[in-house]
Amino acid sequence: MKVERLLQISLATLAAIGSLLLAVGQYGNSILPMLATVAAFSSVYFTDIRGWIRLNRNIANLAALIAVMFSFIDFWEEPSTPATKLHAIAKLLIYLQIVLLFQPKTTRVYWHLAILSLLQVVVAAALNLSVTFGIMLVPYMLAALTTLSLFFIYREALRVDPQLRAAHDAIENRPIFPVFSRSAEGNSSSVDRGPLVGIQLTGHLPANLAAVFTSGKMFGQVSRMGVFTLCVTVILFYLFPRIDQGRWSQSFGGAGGTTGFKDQISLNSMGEMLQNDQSVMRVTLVDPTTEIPIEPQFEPYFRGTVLVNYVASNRTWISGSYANARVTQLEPPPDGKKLYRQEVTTNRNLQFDRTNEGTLLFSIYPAYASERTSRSIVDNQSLGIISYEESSPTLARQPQEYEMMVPWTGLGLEGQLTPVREPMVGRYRRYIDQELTKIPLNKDIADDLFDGIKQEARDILQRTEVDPADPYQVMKALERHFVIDGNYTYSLGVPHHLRNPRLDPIENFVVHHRTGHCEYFASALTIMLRAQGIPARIVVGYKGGEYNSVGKYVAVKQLHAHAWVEAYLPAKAIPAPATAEEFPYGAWVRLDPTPASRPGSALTNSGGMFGFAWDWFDYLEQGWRDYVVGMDRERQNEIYEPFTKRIFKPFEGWFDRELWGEWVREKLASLGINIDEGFFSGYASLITMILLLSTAVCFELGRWLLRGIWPRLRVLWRKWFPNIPTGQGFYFKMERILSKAGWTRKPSTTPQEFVDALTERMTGTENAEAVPIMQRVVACYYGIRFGRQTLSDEQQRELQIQLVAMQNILQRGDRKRGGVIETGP
Amino acid sequence: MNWFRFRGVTITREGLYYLLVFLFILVGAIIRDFQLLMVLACMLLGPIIYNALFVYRSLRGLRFTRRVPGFIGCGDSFFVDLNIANVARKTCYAVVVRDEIEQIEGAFTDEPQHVETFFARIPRRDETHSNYRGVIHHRGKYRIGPLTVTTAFPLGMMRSTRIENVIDHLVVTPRIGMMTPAWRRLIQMDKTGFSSSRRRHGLLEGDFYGLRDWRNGDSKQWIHWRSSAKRGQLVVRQFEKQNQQDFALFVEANVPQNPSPEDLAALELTISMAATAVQDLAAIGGCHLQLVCRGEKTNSVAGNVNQAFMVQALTNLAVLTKTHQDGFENALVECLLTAKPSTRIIVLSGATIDLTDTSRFEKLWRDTQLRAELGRIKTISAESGEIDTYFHLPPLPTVEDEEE
Repeated sequence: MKVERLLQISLATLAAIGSLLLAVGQYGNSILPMLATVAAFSSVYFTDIRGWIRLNRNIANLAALIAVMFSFIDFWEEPSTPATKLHAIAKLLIYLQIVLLFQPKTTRVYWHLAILSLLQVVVAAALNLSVTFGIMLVPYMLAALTTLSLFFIYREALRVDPQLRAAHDAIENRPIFPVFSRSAEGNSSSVDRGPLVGIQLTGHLPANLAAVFTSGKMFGQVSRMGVFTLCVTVILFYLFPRIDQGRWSQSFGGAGGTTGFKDQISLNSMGEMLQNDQSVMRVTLVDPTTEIPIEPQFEPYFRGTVLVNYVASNRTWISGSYANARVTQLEPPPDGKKLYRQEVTTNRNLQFDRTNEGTLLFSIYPAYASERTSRSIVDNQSLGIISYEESSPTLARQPQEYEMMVPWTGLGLEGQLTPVREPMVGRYRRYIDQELTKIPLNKDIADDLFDGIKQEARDILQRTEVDPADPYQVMKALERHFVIDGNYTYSLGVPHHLRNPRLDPIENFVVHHRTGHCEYFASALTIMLRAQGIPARIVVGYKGGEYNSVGKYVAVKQLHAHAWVEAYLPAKAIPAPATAEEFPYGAWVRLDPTPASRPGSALTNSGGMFGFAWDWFDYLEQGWRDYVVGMDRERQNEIYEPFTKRIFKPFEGWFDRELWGEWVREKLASLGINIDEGFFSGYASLITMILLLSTAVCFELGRWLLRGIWPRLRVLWRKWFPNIPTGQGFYFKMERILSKAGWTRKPSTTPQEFVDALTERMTGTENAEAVPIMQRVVACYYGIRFGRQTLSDEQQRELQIQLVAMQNILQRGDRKRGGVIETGP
Repeated sequence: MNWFRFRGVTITREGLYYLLVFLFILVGAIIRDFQLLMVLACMLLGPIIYNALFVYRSLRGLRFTRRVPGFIGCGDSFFVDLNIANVARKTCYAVVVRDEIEQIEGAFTDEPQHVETFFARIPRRDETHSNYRGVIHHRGKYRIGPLTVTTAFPLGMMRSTRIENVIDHLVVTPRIGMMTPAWRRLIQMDKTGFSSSRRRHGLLEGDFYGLRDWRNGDSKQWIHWRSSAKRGQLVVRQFEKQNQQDFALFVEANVPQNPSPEDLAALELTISMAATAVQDLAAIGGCHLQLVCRGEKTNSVAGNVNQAFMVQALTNLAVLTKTHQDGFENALVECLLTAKPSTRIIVLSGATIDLTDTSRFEKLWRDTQLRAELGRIKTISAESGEIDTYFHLPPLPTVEDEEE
């Protein structure tokens, strides 16, 4: 049958798209889904068309069992994370799909394949959060609708055509163990099949079946359904109310994770972070005077946290402890300084790390408050860390959006200097002078770790002939050594053959291999500066991003993570053209020793058609993340706010508790009852009691009335809507038919009496055939009404058919009587 | 009972499972606050809503008619034509029409059967038709309909159902066999024996009525040679006198209280013989016949044997049901009294009837007038095997024959 062949092709397409969805979600581990895609199409040829490969049920069951066992092992394999478990489930689904694809197709197999495909999409949804999932969902939906439509036609054809059904049943009911069933078959063949049944009816399929359901009109129908489904999906998705995120809310598989900027960062973890393509945030810089987003011409530094102490045993930098940090809300912008509005939209599926004050926020520094800046954003001015304070730390997440005012001063000296905002006294001075100049020692061997680095620093300074008394010149000379020399190579990982376990990796980096990523460079420069007595610390955050010309924003991803150095410069050492007056407590100089060859540092896109298309795709991706993946109550409120405000504004006062309280107080005051002093007054108690009593009386009265009226309402309801399945509608339908024929039941007559009276009248007339139907209907009605019986669907249908027959009999009788209608009993 | 029903639209079992899958995904999406699952759940809801809306509108503009042959023979194959006119502005797809056939009168209580006919497409403002084949092996009167029209297009998750009050009736006559030449001779004997007193002026007395084909048993004197020569086959003359020949068939459907299959088979054979005889006489034409069928109800029909008479007579035979009450004597007396004096009465019965049994037929034998009429009665029974002399019925087809 042509429809069945199309169904097989459509189902194979569905299975293939389902597998591809899994392949996209598995990030590289997609050989099996691709194999399943190939299997889906090859099964159509080898199994369905040619019939060369047809797994019988025994082999199929065995193969499925083996697949389950393998997947079970995968499921519990260490490390057991949600992602690995999901991958194991995905594998199981693919194995089962392949097994089913190579079986002879029956309705059971078709259903199993459809369900498996849907489950694949469910798993893929957990593995793949990107917009590619959403885009692939559209062809999947069209394939699914085509498959379901063809499958429906196939089932209807089976239902109508006995030959087709017999052929289908022969495959479906094939014995699982033919050896045991052979004897039973032999016995049954000798049994006499008996006489012919009284009535034999045979339907057949229409000749135009294949032409109709494989024509373009059919696919037009599917397309209309697809458009309708898409519209319904969008409407329902945005209408469905979201609940607050709670402890149930968790992330799956490929989604989730953290930025990785904790209070300690090892050299290895930074390298891993730099290989991750996951989006972190989207930053738009807007000129507040023109309200136009600006296109950054150089890479912005989005500061995160600072690292102070190096733990040599772990090869890890930690943030250290500074208890008396100066933490304030973001300050308003200083007068006369040109600032830009920095609007940040974060990726909700990536959790920002925590600081002592709350959740770490990334921003150009220093940052100031705008009119719309949240009051929960605080600035640790001592360390230069911006955080988001939450009342409930356990559920804390970064805000979906935040806004600050930031300077945008370019690459010159002004852009490199950040003022110190805390006086250099007391603990802060000790922090600067002692903590930030400390060179770590190797406690295990009680030896200096960084002899090579110190020597290298001395050599550089000697070679460049800078004045050792001018810290700014020293800093810049050392920075230039890394950036300009050309002796250093940027690499995300250090090759094994270059590693020396007896040396510290930073020492090894500077002295020997000179290959590493930004944290190596920043670490080396920090130690060199400290060796020269200059306070320095490492700052980690993000540098640059991908500028999107469509959305006018900079998309910052994990691979834009960066480490750089901040060195302290006393006020007296501030170089011209800056002045000591501008930096009364000194300044932090930003030094970036990483060579410019760092990948991913280019801010602008490649341009051209491809670049433009990529920008569009990225913009779509952001929209998908914001309005689909990141859809929550807050976002929903944001969408509906303009509408709800317009609708509910006239009724604003109606829901204001304060206004109502005021109104009640006024009314009571007019009655001489003053409740301003407190609710526990004598009058108030009296009124409360009267109100409660009235409520109770009203309730009882309502209940009494309802009890009296309800049965009548119910009878009327059944009379008006006999087709609504109360189970007794058929009786009222009979009354209606009889009423049309001229017989109406009086209220004083019971249904049985009514039918008995009619039986007497009808016996011996043309309507006598209706009598047994009436008797049966009334017996069924009594059974349901008083005997708590129920009728099956088949019985209900049979009664309906009989009622139609009765109507026919009575109409025939009316015609013969020449329209004379007898009076009722 | 289907829990969801709205104006004839119900949810199918597949639709119910689909909804459960939807709920499973929706709950998962809500609990895990997972928006992509929410997208999937909303996407699952779209098709089922579309399906409900589509089926709700589909059957509105359909009008149904059925064409049924009014009479068919027992075991004969027949076709029922179904015609659907679509007066709506939308084309309808995949409409399944379920037709019912139920015996309303007759000896056998067969279970009602149904058949489904598939209409792939009913174009808007146009009509289409289809048919189904049927074979009924038991005589009786059957009701066809009402039609149950359903569609679940395009996905089969929601189904709209409408019951159409299109009722037709079908009479399945007893099985028709072949009358033997002995039967013809018996009839001739009627014409030449009992009625001979009426033809005392010769065979060719009476008004000339017409010509008919020659059959076995016809006298050579009746052959109309000129017409036979013209047509190239023998043609005989018919006379009014012969048409007025009275003839009565009394079919006795009495069986024991607990009849054996043989008793029932004998009765069916008897009824088949009566039906065949009626049909045979109708083919010959020009005969006055009274047919008395005594079963649970007693029906009698009398008149000149023509097509209308045959229809009524075959209907009576079709719906004749067995009885175990012995009212044969009274019915026979009634028949003797109502029949014309010259009428020959042939009693067909399953069991042998011995009219010489004076104790059983006391009333007949006591009444001298009736006793004198006994000579007009001829009994033929299946039990005695006498029926085989006059009638031959081919065996019933087996299942294998049907399949072939």
